[in-house]
Amino acid sequence: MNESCPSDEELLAAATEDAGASQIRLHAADCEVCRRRIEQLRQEVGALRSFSRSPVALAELTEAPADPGATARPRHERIGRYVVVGELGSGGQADVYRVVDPELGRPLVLKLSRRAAPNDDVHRDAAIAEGRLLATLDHPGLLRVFDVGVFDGRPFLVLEYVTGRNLEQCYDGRRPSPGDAARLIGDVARVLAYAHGRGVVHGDVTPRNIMVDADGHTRLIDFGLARLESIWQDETGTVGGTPEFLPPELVATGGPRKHAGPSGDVFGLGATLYWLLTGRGPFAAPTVLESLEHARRGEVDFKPLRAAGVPHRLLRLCEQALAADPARRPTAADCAGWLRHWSARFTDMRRSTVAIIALLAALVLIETAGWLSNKPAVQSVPEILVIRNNEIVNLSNVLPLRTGDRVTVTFDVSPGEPVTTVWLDAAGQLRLLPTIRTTGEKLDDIKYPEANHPARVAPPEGTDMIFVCRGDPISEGELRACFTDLAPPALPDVVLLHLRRSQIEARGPLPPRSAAAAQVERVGEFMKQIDVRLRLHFEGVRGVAFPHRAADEDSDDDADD
Amino acid sequence: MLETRLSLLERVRDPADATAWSEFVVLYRPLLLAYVRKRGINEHDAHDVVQEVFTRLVPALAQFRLDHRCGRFRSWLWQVTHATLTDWARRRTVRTRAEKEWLDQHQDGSSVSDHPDNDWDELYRRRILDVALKRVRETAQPTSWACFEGRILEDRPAAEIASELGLSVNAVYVNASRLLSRVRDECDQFAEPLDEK
Repeated sequence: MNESCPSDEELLAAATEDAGASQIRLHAADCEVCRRRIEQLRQEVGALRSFSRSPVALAELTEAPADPGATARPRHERIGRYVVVGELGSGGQADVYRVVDPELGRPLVLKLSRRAAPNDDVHRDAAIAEGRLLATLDHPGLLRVFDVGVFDGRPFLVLEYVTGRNLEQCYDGRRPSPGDAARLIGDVARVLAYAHGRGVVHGDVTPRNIMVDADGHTRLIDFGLARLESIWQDETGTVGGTPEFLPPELVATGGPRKHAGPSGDVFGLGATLYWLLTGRGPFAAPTVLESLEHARRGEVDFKPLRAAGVPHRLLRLCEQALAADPARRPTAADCAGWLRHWSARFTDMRRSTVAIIALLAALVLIETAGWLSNKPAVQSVPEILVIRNNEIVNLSNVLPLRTGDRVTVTFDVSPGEPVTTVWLDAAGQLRLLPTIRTTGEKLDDIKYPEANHPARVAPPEGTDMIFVCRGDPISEGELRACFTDLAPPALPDVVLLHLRRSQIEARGPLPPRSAAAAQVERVGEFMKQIDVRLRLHFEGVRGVAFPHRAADEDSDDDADD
Repeated sequence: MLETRLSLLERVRDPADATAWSEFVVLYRPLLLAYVRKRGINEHDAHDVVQEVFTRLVPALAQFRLDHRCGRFRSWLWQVTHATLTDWARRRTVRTRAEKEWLDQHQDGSSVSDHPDNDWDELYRRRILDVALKRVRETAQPTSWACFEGRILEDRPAAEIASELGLSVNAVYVNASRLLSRVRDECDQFAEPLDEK
């Protein structure tokens, strides 16, 4: 470019084909530099024109689409050191943002309270202490709290971000099966038991605060937020949240959520279970006021639960958790333990038909030696001890049992769990066994009969069975209806069958595909049929079947007492 | 000029510079959302994916070797977005058809190239042009902008614009030329030369 080269504006005129720029084009024909500049300008103008000609694509880019569920609220690009990258649905008292911590590099959620924090040290310190307590919670079933702070006079909480859907979204218009509902609630109960053990109360257990994450895991969200908010809001804080899920004690006192206790969480657990099973909250009513009135009186209508065909045991738990008196509700740990059992059983019921057939087809034969030592605790089948020759021996070591042997039966159940024990003898006669319970810390020990008065085994010979049924007792008529009048089929002399979790396990030496194996299979099938009927009434059934022979002359009958 | 124009991408490499991060998010978020949505991902999930892209960018940017060559950053940002989308689709236990297709195409790794698809290039350049034009417009005199907009963007005759504004034809070109030069500088900031096709 030299002194005689055209100016920028002249070159632009030439590049945009202005009629008046012919002089410049003439110059450019001879000037390599100007020719190149004109070419560059043409490309630039072309790019800008094609860009401005497609407004549709432009709109798509300039207006960043709002997050579905996000509501209008003041925008922030930054909150403290957190960079806002989006907005999420409002959590009632707070604005919820997607944020990135530039230093931490993990996706987070920031909840910024809509109300200003009280401007005094007492409340501030209390809230920070509460936030720190929340930050100590670390359980896969809840969301981690990473930070607590104040922005623009408003308190905020920074939480782990997890993708997923809350129960309201998951079960919008459809209901889970009772088994799925029990599993979900059991997951939440475990998290609550963990937090309660650390002195932290959730304060607002509702379907909206329970989430199923992208991996299908249940997560309890907004832990302690209700409580934290009530601290921020001073004593004037009123009861928030949906009245349909409020524990009566909170409605009755009209008190702030900071008075919510662990039993309030259990109520929320029961209310959520109720909602899952029926599609409505326990205090659902046409108006909020009516809801509150139901809640204040703690009157829950259980008819919808029964109408929904909810299994009796699950319904009972729901009723207990929703007790108006907080003191009468089970603890979260109780609920967790109970639901785990129930869910396992529910799943077993559905699997049992297939499992039994598969198991009988390939009977697992286990050496008798050594099995005594590794008896599992709660799931153990009744242990039968035989008193023969003044020695107490395990039944498996002295098979077959002989008429006149004296025996004791022992097993464990969960503390306080009701149990029914029956003996089906070789003639097909059913006897209810009066058992003695010794309450233990972790398990209750059940014995028949009292240890120092062993029961004597009566004739005839054949196969005897003992069944232990966990759960509420049923009438004798119902119990007898579970058994046929038929005598159990014969067992090989040295084989013992265990029934637990609807599965049959044979113990004893037994060659496969022998006539003896066929016998074992027939007895197993017989037990399984009884098991299926008993399980219609009871929570769990365990059993044992053993061969019983008439006393032979070799045996020392140990004389009568 | 190039030095200051590249400053945002430089500054954002420092995780402590939250202001730069905010600017960065404002600039790239609409682009990322548009691209992810164009892949058939639903609205809510698109926001999730975009949040994750930003999350990955925090450590990734600190290690990114900034290179002023044309399109380098554009390709690199695409690679991060692409990897996020793939991982995200893989993690989903329940996949939509769009996610499944994405995964089928990209899971084996053989089809992953260094080069972004046309959608990305197109959206990226549009976003940069949009931001560049907005910035120039905000700082320009209205008359100058009218000259630039009329002659360059709308391709109207210079004489017509001149008589409307009471200027000489030469003044229209002077204004248009100045603003064009500023738009060029803005684009250079993102290593996206205006004349690059």
